[in-house]
Amino acid sequence: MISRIMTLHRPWMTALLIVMLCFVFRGMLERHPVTHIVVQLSALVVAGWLAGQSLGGALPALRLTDWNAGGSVGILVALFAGAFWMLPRNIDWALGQTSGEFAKFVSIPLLMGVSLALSWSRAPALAKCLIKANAVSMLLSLSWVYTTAPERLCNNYLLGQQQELGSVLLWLAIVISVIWSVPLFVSQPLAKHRPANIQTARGVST
Amino acid sequence: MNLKGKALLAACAVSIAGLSALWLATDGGRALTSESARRLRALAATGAVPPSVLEDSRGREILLRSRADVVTLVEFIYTTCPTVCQSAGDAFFKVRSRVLQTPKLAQSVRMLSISFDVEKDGPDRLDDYARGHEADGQMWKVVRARRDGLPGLLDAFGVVVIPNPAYGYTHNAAIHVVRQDGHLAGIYDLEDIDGVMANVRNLVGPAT
Repeated sequence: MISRIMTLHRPWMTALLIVMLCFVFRGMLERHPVTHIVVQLSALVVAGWLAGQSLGGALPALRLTDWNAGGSVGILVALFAGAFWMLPRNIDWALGQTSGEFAKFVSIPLLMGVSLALSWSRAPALAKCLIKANAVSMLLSLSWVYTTAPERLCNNYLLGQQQELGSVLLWLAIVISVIWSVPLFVSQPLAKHRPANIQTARGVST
Repeated sequence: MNLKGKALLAACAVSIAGLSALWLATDGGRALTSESARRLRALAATGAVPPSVLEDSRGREILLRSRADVVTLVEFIYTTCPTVCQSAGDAFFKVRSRVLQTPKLAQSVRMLSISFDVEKDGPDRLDDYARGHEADGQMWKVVRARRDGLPGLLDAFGVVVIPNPAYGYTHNAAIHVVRQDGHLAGIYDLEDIDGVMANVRNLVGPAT
Protein backbone atom coordinates (compact mmCIF):
# COMPACT_ATOMS: atom_id res chain seq x y z
CA MET A 1 0.00 0.00 0.00
CA ILE A 2 2.75 2.43 1.00
CA SER A 3 4.78 1.59 -2.06
CA ARG A 4 1.68 2.24 -4.14
CA ILE A 5 1.34 5.70 -2.63
CA MET A 6 5.05 6.33 -3.23
CA THR A 7 4.78 5.45 -6.90
CA LEU A 8 1.65 7.56 -7.16
CA HIS A 9 3.47 10.48 -5.64
CA ARG A 10 6.29 10.54 -8.12
CA PRO A 11 4.35 12.13 -11.00
CA TRP A 12 2.93 14.59 -8.47
CA MET A 13 6.39 15.72 -7.48
CA THR A 14 7.43 16.01 -11.11
CA ALA A 15 4.32 18.10 -11.81
CA LEU A 16 5.06 20.42 -8.90
CA LEU A 17 8.67 20.71 -9.99
CA ILE A 18 7.63 21.64 -13.54
CA VAL A 19 5.18 24.30 -12.34
CA MET A 20 7.81 25.71 -9.99
CA LEU A 21 10.44 25.81 -12.73
CA CYS A 22 7.95 27.50 -15.06
CA PHE A 23 7.24 30.05 -12.34
CA VAL A 24 10.81 30.70 -11.23
CA PHE A 25 12.08 31.10 -14.79
CA ARG A 26 8.99 32.91 -16.03
CA GLY A 27 10.91 36.12 -16.78
CA MET A 28 13.27 34.26 -19.06
CA LEU A 29 10.61 32.05 -20.64
CA GLU A 30 8.14 34.86 -21.24
CA ARG A 31 10.64 37.11 -22.95
CA HIS A 32 10.10 35.33 -26.27
CA PRO A 33 6.76 33.99 -27.53
CA VAL A 34 8.35 30.68 -28.58
CA THR A 35 9.59 29.87 -25.08
CA HIS A 36 6.42 31.32 -23.56
CA ILE A 37 3.87 29.46 -25.64
CA VAL A 38 5.66 26.39 -26.91
CA VAL A 39 7.80 25.70 -23.83
CA GLN A 40 6.09 27.20 -20.77
CA LEU A 41 2.44 26.69 -21.66
CA SER A 42 3.08 23.15 -22.92
CA ALA A 43 5.05 22.36 -19.77
CA LEU A 44 2.12 23.57 -17.66
CA VAL A 45 -0.21 21.24 -19.56
CA VAL A 46 2.22 18.36 -19.05
CA ALA A 47 2.47 19.16 -15.34
CA GLY A 48 -1.31 19.09 -15.07
CA TRP A 49 -1.41 15.85 -17.03
CA LEU A 50 1.08 14.18 -14.64
CA ALA A 51 -0.80 15.42 -11.60
CA GLY A 52 -4.06 14.23 -13.15
CA GLN A 53 -2.58 10.78 -13.80
CA SER A 54 -1.65 10.29 -10.18
CA LEU A 55 -4.88 11.87 -8.95
CA GLY A 56 -6.90 9.55 -11.14
CA GLY A 57 -4.87 6.60 -9.86
CA ALA A 58 -5.25 7.54 -6.22
CA LEU A 59 -8.89 8.63 -6.37
CA PRO A 60 -10.61 6.83 -9.25
CA ALA A 61 -13.85 8.58 -8.22
CA LEU A 62 -12.38 11.78 -9.70
CA ARG A 63 -12.83 10.28 -13.13
CA LEU A 64 -16.57 10.88 -12.64
CA THR A 65 -17.63 7.97 -14.78
CA ASP A 66 -21.24 9.16 -14.90
CA TRP A 67 -20.83 12.95 -15.21
CA ASN A 68 -17.79 12.56 -17.43
CA ALA A 69 -18.78 9.46 -19.38
CA GLY A 70 -16.34 8.73 -22.17
CA GLY A 71 -14.23 11.63 -20.98
CA SER A 72 -16.30 13.97 -23.11
CA VAL A 73 -16.86 16.68 -20.53
CA GLY A 74 -13.24 16.80 -19.39
CA ILE A 75 -12.09 17.09 -23.00
CA LEU A 76 -14.59 19.90 -23.62
CA VAL A 77 -13.24 21.79 -20.60
CA ALA A 78 -9.70 21.41 -21.95
CA LEU A 79 -10.74 22.57 -25.42
CA PHE A 80 -12.42 25.71 -24.08
CA ALA A 81 -9.45 26.50 -21.85
CA GLY A 82 -7.19 25.99 -24.87
CA ALA A 83 -9.31 28.33 -26.98
CA PHE A 84 -9.19 30.97 -24.23
CA TRP A 85 -5.38 30.90 -24.01
CA MET A 86 -5.05 30.90 -27.78
CA LEU A 87 -6.36 34.48 -27.89
CA PRO A 88 -3.48 36.95 -28.17
CA ARG A 89 -5.09 39.40 -25.75
CA ASN A 90 -5.09 36.80 -22.99
CA ILE A 91 -1.39 36.25 -23.55
CA ASP A 92 -0.98 40.02 -23.10
CA TRP A 93 -3.11 39.74 -19.97
CA ALA A 94 -0.79 37.06 -18.56
CA LEU A 95 2.24 39.20 -19.38
CA GLY A 96 0.91 42.52 -18.16
CA GLN A 97 -1.04 41.76 -15.04
CA THR A 98 -0.54 39.60 -11.98
CA SER A 99 -4.13 38.39 -12.21
CA GLY A 100 -3.48 37.14 -15.72
CA GLU A 101 -0.26 35.40 -14.74
CA PHE A 102 -2.05 33.77 -11.80
CA ALA A 103 -4.97 32.68 -14.00
CA LYS A 104 -2.54 31.15 -16.45
CA PHE A 105 -0.58 29.18 -13.86
CA VAL A 106 -3.78 27.83 -12.30
CA SER A 107 -6.09 27.29 -15.23
CA ILE A 108 -3.72 25.67 -17.73
CA PRO A 109 -2.52 22.82 -15.47
CA LEU A 110 -5.98 22.25 -13.96
CA LEU A 111 -8.39 22.83 -16.83
CA MET A 112 -6.18 21.48 -19.60
CA GLY A 113 -3.70 19.02 -18.05
CA VAL A 114 -5.68 17.47 -15.22
CA SER A 115 -8.97 17.24 -17.06
CA LEU A 116 -7.31 15.69 -20.12
CA ALA A 117 -5.51 13.15 -17.92
CA LEU A 118 -8.78 12.16 -16.26
CA SER A 119 -10.63 11.93 -19.56
CA TRP A 120 -8.47 11.20 -22.56
CA SER A 121 -7.96 7.44 -22.10
CA ARG A 122 -11.71 6.90 -22.01
CA ALA A 123 -12.54 8.90 -25.12
CA PRO A 124 -13.79 6.92 -28.12
CA ALA A 125 -11.07 6.30 -30.71
CA LEU A 126 -12.92 8.32 -33.33
CA ALA A 127 -13.16 11.35 -31.04
CA LYS A 128 -9.44 11.10 -30.31
CA CYS A 129 -8.62 11.01 -34.01
CA LEU A 130 -10.88 13.99 -34.66
CA ILE A 131 -9.26 16.05 -31.89
CA LYS A 132 -5.75 15.12 -32.98
CA ALA A 133 -6.47 16.02 -36.61
CA ASN A 134 -7.97 19.33 -35.52
CA ALA A 135 -5.05 20.05 -33.23
CA VAL A 136 -2.64 19.69 -36.15
CA SER A 137 -4.73 21.89 -38.44
CA MET A 138 -5.14 24.47 -35.66
CA LEU A 139 -1.36 24.58 -35.22
CA LEU A 140 -1.00 25.06 -38.97
CA SER A 141 -3.53 27.89 -39.12
CA LEU A 142 -1.96 29.63 -36.11
CA SER A 143 1.41 29.23 -37.79
CA TRP A 144 0.02 30.80 -40.94
CA VAL A 145 -1.53 33.71 -39.03
CA TYR A 146 1.65 34.43 -37.08
CA THR A 147 3.99 34.22 -40.05
CA THR A 148 1.85 36.40 -42.33
CA ALA A 149 0.07 38.91 -40.06
CA PRO A 150 1.38 42.39 -40.93
CA GLU A 151 0.64 43.65 -37.41
CA ARG A 152 1.70 42.56 -33.99
CA LEU A 153 -1.01 40.48 -32.35
CA CYS A 154 0.52 40.71 -28.88
CA ASN A 155 1.53 44.16 -27.72
CA ASN A 156 4.28 42.57 -25.67
CA TYR A 157 6.11 40.89 -28.53
CA LEU A 158 7.91 42.10 -31.64
CA LEU A 159 6.72 41.34 -35.15
CA GLY A 160 9.87 39.29 -35.81
CA GLN A 161 9.30 37.22 -32.68
CA GLN A 162 5.72 36.61 -33.76
CA GLN A 163 6.96 35.31 -37.11
CA GLU A 164 9.50 33.07 -35.36
CA LEU A 165 6.66 31.63 -33.30
CA GLY A 166 4.80 31.01 -36.55
CA SER A 167 7.64 28.99 -38.05
CA VAL A 168 8.18 27.03 -34.83
CA LEU A 169 4.48 26.14 -34.79
CA LEU A 170 4.79 24.93 -38.37
CA TRP A 171 7.64 22.59 -37.38
CA LEU A 172 5.70 21.50 -34.34
CA ALA A 173 2.71 20.63 -36.51
CA ILE A 174 4.94 18.61 -38.83
CA VAL A 175 6.63 16.73 -36.00
CA ILE A 176 3.36 16.01 -34.20
CA SER A 177 1.62 14.81 -37.32
CA VAL A 178 4.53 12.48 -38.06
CA ILE A 179 4.50 11.13 -34.50
CA TRP A 180 0.75 10.61 -34.61
CA SER A 181 0.50 9.16 -38.09
CA VAL A 182 3.50 6.84 -38.26
CA PRO A 183 2.01 4.28 -35.83
CA LEU A 184 -1.03 4.03 -38.11
CA PHE A 185 1.19 2.61 -40.84
CA VAL A 186 3.28 0.40 -38.62
CA SER A 187 1.04 -2.47 -37.63
CA GLN A 188 3.26 -4.12 -35.00
CA PRO A 189 3.10 -1.62 -32.12
CA LEU A 190 -0.59 -1.01 -32.72
CA ALA A 191 -1.40 -4.70 -32.41
CA LYS A 192 0.68 -4.95 -29.28
CA HIS A 193 -1.17 -2.14 -27.54
CA ARG A 194 -4.66 -2.88 -28.70
CA PRO A 195 -5.75 -5.40 -26.02
CA ALA A 196 -4.59 -3.18 -23.17
CA ASN A 197 -6.40 -0.17 -24.59
CA ILE A 198 -9.65 -1.98 -25.01
CA GLN A 199 -9.44 -3.31 -21.51
CA THR A 200 -8.92 0.04 -19.84
CA ALA A 201 -11.59 1.65 -21.95
CA ARG A 202 -14.05 -1.06 -20.99
CA GLY A 203 -13.00 -1.11 -17.36
CA VAL A 204 -13.51 2.58 -16.77
CA SER A 205 -16.15 3.97 -19.03
CA THR A 206 -18.98 1.56 -18.27
CA MET B 1 -19.64 10.21 -28.52
CA ASN B 2 -22.12 8.36 -26.45
CA LEU B 3 -23.55 11.21 -24.40
CA LYS B 4 -26.41 10.39 -22.11
CA GLY B 5 -28.03 11.70 -18.94
CA LYS B 6 -25.61 13.38 -16.56
CA ALA B 7 -22.76 13.55 -19.05
CA LEU B 8 -24.98 15.27 -21.60
CA LEU B 9 -26.10 17.74 -18.95
CA ALA B 10 -22.50 18.39 -17.89
CA ALA B 11 -21.40 18.80 -21.52
CA CYS B 12 -24.14 21.40 -22.08
CA ALA B 13 -23.20 23.25 -18.90
CA VAL B 14 -19.51 23.26 -19.83
CA SER B 15 -20.31 24.44 -23.35
CA ILE B 16 -22.44 27.30 -22.09
CA ALA B 17 -19.83 28.29 -19.51
CA GLY B 18 -17.02 27.98 -22.05
CA LEU B 19 -18.79 29.97 -24.73
CA SER B 20 -19.75 32.67 -22.24
CA ALA B 21 -16.15 32.88 -21.02
CA LEU B 22 -14.91 33.27 -24.60
CA TRP B 23 -17.66 35.79 -25.32
CA LEU B 24 -16.68 37.88 -22.30
CA ALA B 25 -12.97 37.48 -22.98
CA THR B 26 -13.35 38.84 -26.50
CA ASP B 27 -15.84 41.66 -25.75
CA GLY B 28 -18.54 39.74 -27.56
CA GLY B 29 -16.28 38.48 -30.33
CA ARG B 30 -15.13 42.00 -31.19
CA ALA B 31 -11.60 42.04 -29.80
CA LEU B 32 -9.19 39.11 -30.10
CA THR B 33 -6.07 41.19 -29.46
CA SER B 34 -5.31 43.59 -26.64
CA GLU B 35 -4.82 46.33 -29.24
CA SER B 36 -8.39 46.02 -30.49
CA ALA B 37 -9.60 45.71 -26.89
CA ARG B 38 -7.84 48.96 -26.02
CA ARG B 39 -9.53 50.70 -28.93
CA LEU B 40 -12.93 49.35 -27.93
CA ARG B 41 -12.40 50.55 -24.37
CA ALA B 42 -11.49 53.97 -25.71
CA LEU B 43 -14.74 54.11 -27.64
CA ALA B 44 -16.63 53.29 -24.47
CA ALA B 45 -14.82 56.30 -22.92
CA THR B 46 -14.92 54.85 -19.45
CA GLY B 47 -12.09 56.72 -17.76
CA ALA B 48 -10.30 60.04 -17.96
CA VAL B 49 -6.60 60.10 -18.76
CA PRO B 50 -4.46 61.31 -15.85
CA PRO B 51 -3.61 65.03 -15.60
CA SER B 52 0.02 64.26 -16.43
CA VAL B 53 2.73 66.89 -16.37
CA LEU B 54 4.95 66.80 -19.44
CA GLU B 55 7.83 69.02 -20.43
CA ASP B 56 8.86 70.66 -23.67
CA SER B 57 12.33 71.17 -25.06
CA ARG B 58 12.92 74.18 -22.82
CA GLY B 59 11.93 72.31 -19.69
CA ARG B 60 8.61 74.14 -19.37
CA GLU B 61 5.69 72.28 -17.87
CA ILE B 62 3.05 71.23 -20.34
CA LEU B 63 -0.15 69.68 -19.04
CA LEU B 64 -1.71 66.74 -20.83
CA ARG B 65 -5.11 68.23 -20.01
CA SER B 66 -4.63 71.97 -20.10
CA ARG B 67 -8.00 73.43 -21.01
CA ALA B 68 -11.48 72.00 -20.73
CA ASP B 69 -12.56 73.32 -24.11
CA VAL B 70 -10.07 71.69 -26.43
CA VAL B 71 -9.78 68.27 -27.98
CA THR B 72 -6.27 66.89 -27.55
CA LEU B 73 -4.70 64.54 -30.06
CA VAL B 74 -1.89 62.44 -28.62
CA GLU B 75 0.83 60.35 -30.20
CA PHE B 76 3.53 58.45 -28.36
CA ILE B 77 6.96 58.55 -29.94
CA TYR B 78 10.67 58.43 -29.34
CA THR B 79 12.60 60.79 -31.54
CA THR B 80 15.31 58.39 -32.71
CA CYS B 81 12.70 55.96 -34.01
CA PRO B 82 13.52 55.26 -37.66
CA THR B 83 10.12 53.97 -38.71
CA VAL B 84 6.72 54.25 -37.14
CA CYS B 85 7.32 57.49 -35.16
CA GLN B 86 8.29 59.24 -38.38
CA SER B 87 5.00 58.04 -39.88
CA ALA B 88 3.32 59.31 -36.73
CA GLY B 89 4.84 62.72 -37.35
CA ASP B 90 3.69 62.63 -40.97
CA ALA B 91 0.20 61.64 -39.85
CA PHE B 92 0.06 64.55 -37.39
CA PHE B 93 1.28 66.87 -40.14
CA LYS B 94 -1.65 65.76 -42.31
CA VAL B 95 -4.11 66.07 -39.45
CA ARG B 96 -2.92 69.59 -38.73
CA SER B 97 -3.32 70.65 -42.36
CA ARG B 98 -6.88 69.37 -42.28
CA VAL B 99 -7.61 71.02 -38.92
CA LEU B 100 -6.31 74.38 -40.11
CA GLN B 101 -8.77 74.41 -42.98
CA THR B 102 -11.59 75.13 -40.51
CA PRO B 103 -11.11 78.10 -38.16
CA LYS B 104 -13.30 76.62 -35.45
CA LEU B 105 -11.29 73.41 -35.42
CA ALA B 106 -8.03 75.33 -35.37
CA GLN B 107 -9.11 76.97 -32.11
CA SER B 108 -10.40 73.81 -30.49
CA VAL B 109 -7.69 71.26 -31.21
CA ARG B 110 -4.21 70.83 -29.79
CA MET B 111 -1.76 68.11 -30.61
CA LEU B 112 0.93 66.49 -28.46
CA SER B 113 3.73 64.22 -29.64
CA ILE B 114 4.83 62.70 -26.35
CA SER B 115 8.21 61.01 -26.12
CA PHE B 116 8.42 58.08 -23.73
CA ASP B 117 12.20 57.88 -24.11
CA VAL B 118 12.78 60.09 -21.08
CA GLU B 119 16.47 59.19 -20.88
CA LYS B 120 17.62 59.99 -24.37
CA ASP B 121 15.15 62.53 -25.69
CA GLY B 122 16.69 65.74 -24.42
CA PRO B 123 15.83 69.25 -25.63
CA ASP B 124 17.90 68.98 -28.83
CA ARG B 125 16.24 65.82 -29.97
CA LEU B 126 12.74 67.11 -29.23
CA ASP B 127 13.56 70.25 -31.23
CA ASP B 128 14.95 68.17 -34.10
CA TYR B 129 11.82 66.09 -34.25
CA ALA B 130 9.62 69.19 -34.09
CA ARG B 131 11.60 70.86 -36.88
CA GLY B 132 11.63 67.72 -39.00
CA HIS B 133 7.86 67.47 -38.89
CA GLU B 134 7.14 71.20 -38.78
CA ALA B 135 5.49 71.15 -35.39
CA ASP B 136 4.89 74.80 -34.51
CA GLY B 137 5.25 74.49 -30.73
CA GLN B 138 1.86 76.18 -30.23
CA MET B 139 -0.93 74.09 -31.57
CA TRP B 140 1.33 71.06 -31.98
CA LYS B 141 3.91 70.52 -29.28
CA VAL B 142 6.65 67.90 -29.13
CA VAL B 143 7.18 67.06 -25.47
CA ARG B 144 8.50 64.30 -23.28
CA ALA B 145 6.98 62.53 -20.34
CA ARG B 146 8.44 62.85 -16.87
CA ARG B 147 10.05 59.75 -15.51
CA ASP B 148 7.78 59.42 -12.46
CA GLY B 149 4.58 59.92 -14.42
CA LEU B 150 5.52 57.72 -17.38
CA PRO B 151 4.19 54.32 -16.27
CA GLY B 152 0.80 55.77 -15.28
CA LEU B 153 0.60 57.73 -18.50
CA LEU B 154 1.36 54.75 -20.76
CA ASP B 155 -0.99 52.61 -18.73
CA ALA B 156 -3.87 55.06 -19.06
CA PHE B 157 -3.52 55.02 -22.83
CA GLY B 158 -2.83 51.27 -22.99
CA VAL B 159 0.51 51.82 -24.70
CA VAL B 160 3.08 49.05 -24.28
CA VAL B 161 6.71 49.90 -25.00
CA ILE B 162 9.21 47.08 -25.37
CA PRO B 163 12.92 47.34 -26.18
CA ASN B 164 13.78 46.17 -29.66
CA PRO B 165 17.25 44.68 -30.05
CA ALA B 166 17.55 45.94 -33.63
CA TYR B 167 16.78 49.59 -32.80
CA GLY B 168 15.30 51.47 -29.84
CA TYR B 169 11.79 50.35 -29.02
CA THR B 170 8.68 48.78 -30.41
CA HIS B 171 5.36 50.24 -29.33
CA ASN B 172 1.76 50.35 -30.43
CA ALA B 173 1.54 53.53 -32.48
CA ALA B 174 -1.76 55.28 -32.99
CA ILE B 175 -3.49 58.63 -32.84
CA HIS B 176 -5.36 59.00 -29.55
CA VAL B 177 -8.26 61.43 -29.43
CA VAL B 178 -8.82 62.86 -25.94
CA ARG B 179 -12.17 64.52 -25.38
CA GLN B 180 -12.54 67.97 -23.80
CA ASP B 181 -13.31 66.36 -20.43
CA GLY B 182 -10.20 64.17 -20.56
CA HIS B 183 -11.81 60.91 -21.61
CA LEU B 184 -10.32 58.91 -24.45
CA ALA B 185 -12.74 59.21 -27.33
CA GLY B 186 -11.03 57.06 -29.93
CA ILE B 187 -7.80 55.41 -31.03
CA TYR B 188 -6.95 55.39 -34.73
CA ASP B 189 -4.36 53.87 -37.01
CA LEU B 190 -1.86 56.36 -38.35
CA GLU B 191 -3.38 55.99 -41.82
CA ASP B 192 -6.90 56.70 -40.62
CA ILE B 193 -6.80 60.50 -40.83
CA ASP B 194 -10.46 60.53 -41.92
CA GLY B 195 -11.45 58.65 -38.77
CA VAL B 196 -9.57 61.13 -36.57
CA MET B 197 -11.12 64.11 -38.34
CA ALA B 198 -14.64 62.72 -38.12
CA ASN B 199 -14.25 62.15 -34.39
CA VAL B 200 -12.75 65.60 -33.82
CA ARG B 201 -15.52 67.34 -35.82
CA ASN B 202 -18.07 65.43 -33.84
CA LEU B 203 -16.51 66.50 -30.53
CA VAL B 204 -16.02 70.14 -31.48
CA GLY B 205 -19.48 70.51 -32.94
CA PRO B 206 -20.69 72.10 -36.15
CA ALA B 207 -18.73 75.00 -37.57
CA THR B 208 -20.91 78.08 -37.46
